[in-house]
Amino acid sequence: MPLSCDDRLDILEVAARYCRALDRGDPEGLEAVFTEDAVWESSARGQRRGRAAIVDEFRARAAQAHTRKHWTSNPVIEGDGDHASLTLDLLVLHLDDGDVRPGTSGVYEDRLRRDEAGWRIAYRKITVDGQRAGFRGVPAQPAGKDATR
Amino acid sequence: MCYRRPAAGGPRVSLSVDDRLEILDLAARYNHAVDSGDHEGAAALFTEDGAIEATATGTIAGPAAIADYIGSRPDGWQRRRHFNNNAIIEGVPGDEDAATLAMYIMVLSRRETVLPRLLGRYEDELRRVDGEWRFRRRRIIADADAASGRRAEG
Repeated sequence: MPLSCDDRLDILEVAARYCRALDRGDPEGLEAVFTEDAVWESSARGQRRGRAAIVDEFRARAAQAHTRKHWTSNPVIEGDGDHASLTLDLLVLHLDDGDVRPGTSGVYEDRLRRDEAGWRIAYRKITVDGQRAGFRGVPAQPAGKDATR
Repeated sequence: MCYRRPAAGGPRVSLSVDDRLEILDLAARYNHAVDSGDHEGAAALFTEDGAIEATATGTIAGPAAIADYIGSRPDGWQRRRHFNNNAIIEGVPGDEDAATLAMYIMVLSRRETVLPRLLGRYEDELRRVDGEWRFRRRRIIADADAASGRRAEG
């Protein structure tokens, strides 16, 4: 069955909730947007498997809360039934010492799944611009050392 | 009304696709009005008891006061451009004519160069009046002032 308009709006909202939870430093909010078996993969930070590991990754970045805003654009949604893909451009705005400046840009490539809890992200791949070529995943860096996200 | 399964994190009230798109449209109309200097048009998007709340200015209540406020910006709204992102729209249990809208806001200053002037979020309460969604309360929460002397402005 093709995706309905409701499905499309719900999927965009899941993406919005991810950004809001991330920028607020809200682990429960992040938990709500991922399936339990979700995989999160970043060209800057490597791969996290499972919702708990993903949330831990962001918990470690709590100090960054309210200093970043994840701004997204150009959503393209495709899918059928209970499965969908979402491609989304990303711009991270940094707030440093009262100044706003564009930080990282990149692309999200997501797969979402619907179950009784609604649409959630099952796989999110983040490719930071400039790290696209030859991307095979890089090891995680210690919290606080990364300026890209 | 379309049935929408509640997402994780608690029960939500479903709004129809029409409602959700009309609410996004309301947010866009506000941006278009303030960026083109149409303060009356922007104020008309509020209910009669509607209000704007911002840290720097406190509460501005009623369409006339809102129009004055928007028209009184010292360097003119026409040099600004308002952008929104990450809209989250929710219904209100037991009240089908009420909704909330949470959104990011970025205001760019358009002078010789384009500069981000304000970054923050809107937390809006909406009400449907005569079939049209309106702002009842628009709270502007600035993340940080973009430079000294800059204030939270909707």
